[in-house]
Parts: sequence; C-alpha cells; structure tokens
Amino acid sequence: MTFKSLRGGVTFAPEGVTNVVVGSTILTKTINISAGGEISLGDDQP
Amino acid sequence: MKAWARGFTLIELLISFSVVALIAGLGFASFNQFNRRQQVVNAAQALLTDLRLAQSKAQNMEIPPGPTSTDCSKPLCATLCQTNPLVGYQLDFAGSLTTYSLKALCPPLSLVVKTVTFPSGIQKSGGLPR
Repeated sequence: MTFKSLRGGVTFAPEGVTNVVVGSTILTKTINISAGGEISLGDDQP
Repeated sequence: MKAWARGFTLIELLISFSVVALIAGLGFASFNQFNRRQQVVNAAQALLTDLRLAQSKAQNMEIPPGPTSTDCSKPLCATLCQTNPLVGYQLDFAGSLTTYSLKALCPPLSLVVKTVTFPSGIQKSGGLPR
C-alpha cells in the first residue's frame, strides 16, 4: 500500500488495496481504505 | 453431637470441588478467548494507526531522519532522501503475512522507518486489490 505525495494531496498508487484483513482463528478485523484515502476499522467477524 | 458439627461427607466435598473446578475452567476459557480477541483488535488498531501514519507522513512530505553519523561508512547514508526526492510512504508486507514495514520511498531507494510483527497466531489474511 503506497501513499504517494502529489501536489495538492495524497493518493494511493495503483497497486493499493481497498481493505486489509487481520485476524486469527477466532476473529478477523477488516481495515477499509476508501478511494478518497479514508481509513477505518470495520466490524468484528468471528 | 449436633448435626452441623459432623463436617462434610466425601461426596459433598467432591461435588463442591467439581463445581468450583468447572466454574474456574469456564472462566479461564472465557478469559483466554477474550484475550485472543483483544490481541486481534489491538493488532488491527496498530495497523490502522500505521496506515494513517504513512498517509500523514506522505501528506506532509516528511523527510525521514537520516542514519546517525556512526552509520556513515555505508554508501548513500545520510543523503538518502536528500539526493533522491521523496515520493511517498509505503506499508509493505513484502510477501509476509505477519510482518510489515513502513518505508519512505525515495526511488530507486527506500528507507525503512519502522517494522512491525503481529503477535503469535495473528496474520494478514486478505486484502482486495483496487
């Protein structure tokens, strides 16, 4: 996931992702990344 | 002799200990599960923070600190991001499911700002390409 510095703002490189899932066998959490660069933590998923 | 002074029978004691052991076992299992869930939440929160850190550093065009003078025997040391313009920051899993690095990108070079390893049993399990 690359955050490129551009004049007038920051954008994701084409190889960017829309989400990242982190978890173990009992729980996963999703981190969502919007096209506008907003990053938020999603709900728990058992 | 009064009835209460007789004490407890072996059966009564065994039943009492069994109930206590059962409750303790359930409590321990529940605590263990809570603990593991909390580790996942913390790992996700740390990753979220690092993603925002990468974004913020890129936004501010923050030049990463150069290596200390003791590292200056190495080529390209302190001049890394002065001679090679900073174009952004990257959170790089580099094929790993459990470790990622925050890198400053100064093509053709990159400088690792920090490296994080998830606790045991936690890993990146997916991610959708944009």
